[in-house]
Amino acid sequence: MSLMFIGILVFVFVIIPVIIYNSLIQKRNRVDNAFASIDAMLKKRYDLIPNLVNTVKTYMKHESETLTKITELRANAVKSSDPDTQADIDRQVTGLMRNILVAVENYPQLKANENFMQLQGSLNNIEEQIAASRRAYNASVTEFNTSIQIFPNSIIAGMGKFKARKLFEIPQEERKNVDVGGLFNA
Amino acid sequence: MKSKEEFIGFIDNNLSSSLGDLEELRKSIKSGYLNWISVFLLGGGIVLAAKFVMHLKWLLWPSLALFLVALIFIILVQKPMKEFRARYKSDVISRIIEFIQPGLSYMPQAMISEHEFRHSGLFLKEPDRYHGEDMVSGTVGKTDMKFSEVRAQYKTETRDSKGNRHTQWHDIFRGIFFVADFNKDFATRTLVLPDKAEKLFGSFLGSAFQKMNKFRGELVKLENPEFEKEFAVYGEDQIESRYVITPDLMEKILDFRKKHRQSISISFISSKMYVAIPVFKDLFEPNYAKSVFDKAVMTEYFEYLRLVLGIVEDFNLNTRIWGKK
Repeated sequence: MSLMFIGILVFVFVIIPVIIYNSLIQKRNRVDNAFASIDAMLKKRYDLIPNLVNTVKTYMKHESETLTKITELRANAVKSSDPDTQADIDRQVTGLMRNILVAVENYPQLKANENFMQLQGSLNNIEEQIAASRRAYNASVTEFNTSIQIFPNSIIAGMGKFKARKLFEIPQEERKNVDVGGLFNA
Repeated sequence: MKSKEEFIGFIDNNLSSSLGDLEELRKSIKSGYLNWISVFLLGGGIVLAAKFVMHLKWLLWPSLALFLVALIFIILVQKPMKEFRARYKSDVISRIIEFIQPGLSYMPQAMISEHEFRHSGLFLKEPDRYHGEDMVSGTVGKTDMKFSEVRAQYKTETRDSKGNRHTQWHDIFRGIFFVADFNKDFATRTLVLPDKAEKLFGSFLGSAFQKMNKFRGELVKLENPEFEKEFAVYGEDQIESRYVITPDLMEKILDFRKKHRQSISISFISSKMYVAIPVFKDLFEPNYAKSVFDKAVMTEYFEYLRLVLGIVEDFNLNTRIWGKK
């Protein structure tokens, strides 16, 4: 009788908490992993920037300022390791990239360039992959946050200092439609 | 894509005028059929009357003769029926396809191969019997695609108390199976299946059941709640599955589901898209009882063809901006 009682106590106070703790660790690792994959995709995009700049600079006489700026940003992004600055740089790069791709409409020769068309395909592709990895990250964060908030996981999460993660929000300037007129006046 | 009204116009202005011969053939088959049946019924009636009214004993030979007559009839009617069916496919079905999307090839005898059917990963059960017909293939815009009718079945065997074996056939899938080149490249597999668990058990229990379904791959939770209610998505790679199934594509799949009220299963594998649309009857076959001018029959086949050929447009497969040609 007493043996069974001890058994139940062990189950409730040792085994269940261990299972919950392990599952939380698993979920947290998944979040970190998803975050790392966003990073990997962003790096892939940075690798394309020199290519893009080289291809377009002979054609795009009026956009030289933008091109210099994007090259600088890329250099900073590669150097920095602070996630916040990186996120900020990433946002600016995304904006500039979009500007360049829109401005291309003004250069029919460039638009017909085989090299450029290929590059444009890869850039679109990378954007799509970045979006996918952000969505995957958000899904894993949602799962992690839910699992540390529900009972009885919340007790274990409190003791193990598991903190809810922030969802990746789409920055304001990416939600706006590209202002084509403004671009060309700049 | 052509509308139903345009199709009715096409029947009236083009199609009907060339179907006179075909209708004659159908009528002759039908009247021949009726003649033979009346002969057979009359003969059968006489034999039965001889047995029960006149109590004659020597009935073996007349019955045998009647049986032979029936046999000859079946053999005789085969040929014109076959001819009619072949001509119906080339004169009617083939022209409907040409009307909706010119330049496609139509092979009534061909089908999507069993290998491709299995490769899609949409169905867990291995078919014991596989057949199909009415294959359409070609390029729509920039997209290579093909589809056919397919029926895949598995069998079960039971033994009754006397030890006799009984074989039963069950459908794994019956309907239209569609394959197209997808507009993005990817390496892993993603499945979009109608969500039965979530409808039955609600979102919490349902998704617990879905997670247990390990044969399919990992459950991929997507952010569109309406989509999640209708479909369960399984993938081998969480990120690549989302790369394939973008928020935009989710909307398109939902629209397709709503517009056609069709339950569909989709799989994305080796840069191709496989769509299975269940249909519980034989499509693109002539109806001997109805006139070949009958618009209801033709319109039904038109609707099915339009639905399938519309997939390329509905899912934007011709948008090739992601580096894949």
